[in-house]
Amino acid sequence: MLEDRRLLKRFKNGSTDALQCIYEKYENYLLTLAAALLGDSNAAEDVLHDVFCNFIERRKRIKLRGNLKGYLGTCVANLARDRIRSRSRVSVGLEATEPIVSDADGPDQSVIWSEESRQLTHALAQLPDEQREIIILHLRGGMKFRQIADMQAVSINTIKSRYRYGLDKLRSLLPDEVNK
Amino acid sequence: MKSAENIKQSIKKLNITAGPELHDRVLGSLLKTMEESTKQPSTATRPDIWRIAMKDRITKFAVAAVIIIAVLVIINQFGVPLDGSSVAWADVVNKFNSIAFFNASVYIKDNATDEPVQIEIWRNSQKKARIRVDSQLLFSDGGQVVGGYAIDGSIRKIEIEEYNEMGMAMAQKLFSFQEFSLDTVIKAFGVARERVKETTPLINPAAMISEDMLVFDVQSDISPEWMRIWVLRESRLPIRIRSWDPRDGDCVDVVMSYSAEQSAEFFDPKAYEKILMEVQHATGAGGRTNLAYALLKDPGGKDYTPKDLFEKAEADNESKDSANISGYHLPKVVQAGVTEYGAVWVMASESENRKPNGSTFYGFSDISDDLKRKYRSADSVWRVDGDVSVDVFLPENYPFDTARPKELTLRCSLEAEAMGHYQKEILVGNVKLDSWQKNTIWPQDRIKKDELQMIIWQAWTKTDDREKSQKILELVQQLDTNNKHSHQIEKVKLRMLIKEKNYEDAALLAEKLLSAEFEVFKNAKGNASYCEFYDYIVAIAANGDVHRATDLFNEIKQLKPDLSPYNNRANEHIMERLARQINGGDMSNLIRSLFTAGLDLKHVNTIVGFDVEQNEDTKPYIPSEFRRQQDPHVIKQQAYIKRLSEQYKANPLEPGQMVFNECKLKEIAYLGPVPDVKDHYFYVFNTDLHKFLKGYKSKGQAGRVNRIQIADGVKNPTLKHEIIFNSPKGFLHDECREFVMSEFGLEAIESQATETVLIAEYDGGERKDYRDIRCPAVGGSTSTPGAMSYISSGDIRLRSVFDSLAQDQEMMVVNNTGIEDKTIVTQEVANFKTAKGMELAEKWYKDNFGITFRKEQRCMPVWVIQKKP
Repeated sequence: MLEDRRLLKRFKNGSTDALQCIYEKYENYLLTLAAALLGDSNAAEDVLHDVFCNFIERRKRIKLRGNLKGYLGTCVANLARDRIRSRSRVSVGLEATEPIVSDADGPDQSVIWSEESRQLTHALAQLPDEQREIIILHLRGGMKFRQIADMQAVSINTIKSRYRYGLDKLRSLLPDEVNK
Repeated sequence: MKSAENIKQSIKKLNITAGPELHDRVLGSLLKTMEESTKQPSTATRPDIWRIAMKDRITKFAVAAVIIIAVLVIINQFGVPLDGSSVAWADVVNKFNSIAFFNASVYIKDNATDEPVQIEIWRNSQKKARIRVDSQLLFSDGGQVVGGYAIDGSIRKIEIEEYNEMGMAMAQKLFSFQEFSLDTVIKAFGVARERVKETTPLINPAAMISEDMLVFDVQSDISPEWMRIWVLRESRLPIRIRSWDPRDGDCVDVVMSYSAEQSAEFFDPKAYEKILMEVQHATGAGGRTNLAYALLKDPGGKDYTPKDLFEKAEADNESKDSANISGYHLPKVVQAGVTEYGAVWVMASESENRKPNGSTFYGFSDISDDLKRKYRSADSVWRVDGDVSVDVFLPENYPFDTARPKELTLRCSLEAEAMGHYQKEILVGNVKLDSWQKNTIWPQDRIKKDELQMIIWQAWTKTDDREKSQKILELVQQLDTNNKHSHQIEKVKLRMLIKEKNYEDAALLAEKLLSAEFEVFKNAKGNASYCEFYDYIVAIAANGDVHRATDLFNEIKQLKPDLSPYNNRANEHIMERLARQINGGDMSNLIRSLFTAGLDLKHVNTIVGFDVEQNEDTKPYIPSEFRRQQDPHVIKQQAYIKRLSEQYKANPLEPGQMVFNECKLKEIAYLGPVPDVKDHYFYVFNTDLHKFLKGYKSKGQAGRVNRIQIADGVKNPTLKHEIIFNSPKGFLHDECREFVMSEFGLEAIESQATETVLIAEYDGGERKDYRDIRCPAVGGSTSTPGAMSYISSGDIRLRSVFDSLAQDQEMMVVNNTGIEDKTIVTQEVANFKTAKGMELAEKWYKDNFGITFRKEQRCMPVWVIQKKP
């Protein structure tokens, strides 16, 4: 396994192999983040593509403060937020994208969801945008509250409150404990 | 409802996978973009050594920059002749191979001006390593990471997907090579020998300031990069390694030290977790020093962690009855008082306690008295100035009787950081008070809320219990001589009427109070809330006037609070909150209350102005009873049960009588008592005969397995039937199966079979708290041996765990442990199928419950299902 800094360095020097390694390494992670943030598979694919296009375009100027995974995750979050702002405030649930979110397990599928992922993403889509973003970035993206607060330019206490409210609401939205 | 912890875990594991089409499409597009982008002339363009390296398959060079062992190997790759000309260097390699333990600090910089990233490594002779990287501590065994902890202020066990990649790579590479030889290197990297360039590290005399040290320089023949290795002349051990890229100052510095080996405990993740949890729980001490360096013994006897940290933790854990556990501190009571109506207040200094994760808590969490009264926290404040807190606790029951407590116990505690699904409480300590100010109110400059407001709130929380709520209101009415709280009192009464389903009176009261409520809203400024109107809408709608309720909701929607005192940002925030109270986002209480009051979907939709079933925000709040009523399966079931009830009420069966009929109720397997018919039960099934009989005589001791053998020639028809029976003894599972057998001309004959069984025995060791038990494998699908097969938020008994093992291994488990079957042992059960599963099960049972297994041949009863002669 070549570690990220080395990969990034090669990528910055124009290596397509490095780009491919980075893409394949983080593709599912970033797609999951984007789909969970947007609640929409189509938009998630677009965000994934756009994040990497920007990544290529700006590669000479990239200077990592943390790790590559966090950097790309932040890019996805920022782009997803832009998309959410630009579309109607009406919440778009996953059911609106049913043709993509298919139960079929065939090789032609663009995006493959497990049943639990589907339920969870469906519930997440019902949260207010700001709560959903914090929950996903913190739990799935592994970002600290401080990082999210800096990214969103709000106080850490606001972030923590939104996180708590979001989790409370998720509890009411998700079914009972699975018992076999 | 799902627990927050389970939701967190589910989100952490949330995974959506790109299908091959998406992968190829996006990646193809990106590679094309990249290629086009690199074609454009750039001043930064230069030969890419790493790309060349990849083409030449000499990938090791890249690895070398961060991997200490590989650094040495790479040097070999450069062509150090281990057996010939450079004898000194060969000594270095050999000497390094012979040492049992080393510690290294690695500093990595991407370019000349970057802040370095530090990694610390300890490796022992047993192929175990401990690695601290960023805010993670990883433990590896034989190159595989076997445990990881986030140490960013608190201890949290992390999943494999969270492991720092640099740390994982380091762990792997530390043990990638059995020995340092050129052949091994060639084999490990698959490099053809002829491709390995010959480069000899040269002694650099100018860099040696004394004869104590040797300095070797190595120059890559394929890039400008170089390495320098500082070695002790006498011992031949490397103490520092630097690699440098002159193009941008990309650099790796490794500082190495050698000493006596650290204890096995130091490399054991379980030992680490155990002692750190004890330390945290006992003392609250969880600074980064403790977290990163726990169990590290300095060879020179210096302290790496606070001197007596662990000794103190052990002492504290031994004295369980200690009232005051150090680490956190008890606030100092400055003043305390009990009001005329029984509220207890406490003002304390030195009130702030800080948790290891940086968050804080203040004052006291709860109180008790010698009269065994129950109290609940009603309000609390804390001020930075003087670090002073005031807590107010109200008795749960009013009116307050005349008895006065003689002693109050103030309790300071906190919920510990969760390690698993649950949180443990940490008791900081108790303070006993035997004197306080009598009949005095709390300092009003600290808490402005008056006692009556708090008592009204108590009444509001008890509207389910009319008597209690009424008593509290009567007390408040007596005390509220200025009628200051009359509106709030009336609102509690409105809520009580709704709870009692007295909608007629509720609607009258609602109409009477509405104008005052509008005034309250207008004056509430930033605290204004549309939710305050929900009870009015419910009362009026439930009384049958849906039209009026609809108009009222529309009128409320037009209300705008006075937000002039606030800035634009605050206004935006308040309006966003208010909008959610009328457009679906925060309307759960209204939706639930309307359905509970008996309104149907159509009326609810009319009142709120949208389809609550189609609105993603409100959909989950439609009560399950209402959803069930809409479910076609439930409708069919209810109709079926109603028919049974009517039929057997009119024509009851004799006690012991059973009837067996075909049943056209498709896709429903259902059993239970026939409503309103004494001792009558029904059992509807839709399966095949063999499956239906499978559970026959399966009830018994823990670890039961299917004891049925179907004789040759017994057909397996599909059953779509019902059994109705009259049984004063309750539901009869086996009798139902015997009845079905007789209907098909079958019988069950008891026989014997010699089988291998698992005998479970208990070694008498201490069993873990059932909430601490985790399945052996993390992640993967449920078919992975050791992965979780099911989980319960409550508890799982020994019997169920043995049953599961018996099913997985297809062997009876005999409980010889002396532990009762019903003992709660865990919340998680793993898949222990296959031989690998049994291996994992043996370790899991031993480590967690002190239970071991041995196999034994036993003659076991079986039931052979055969045709009646």
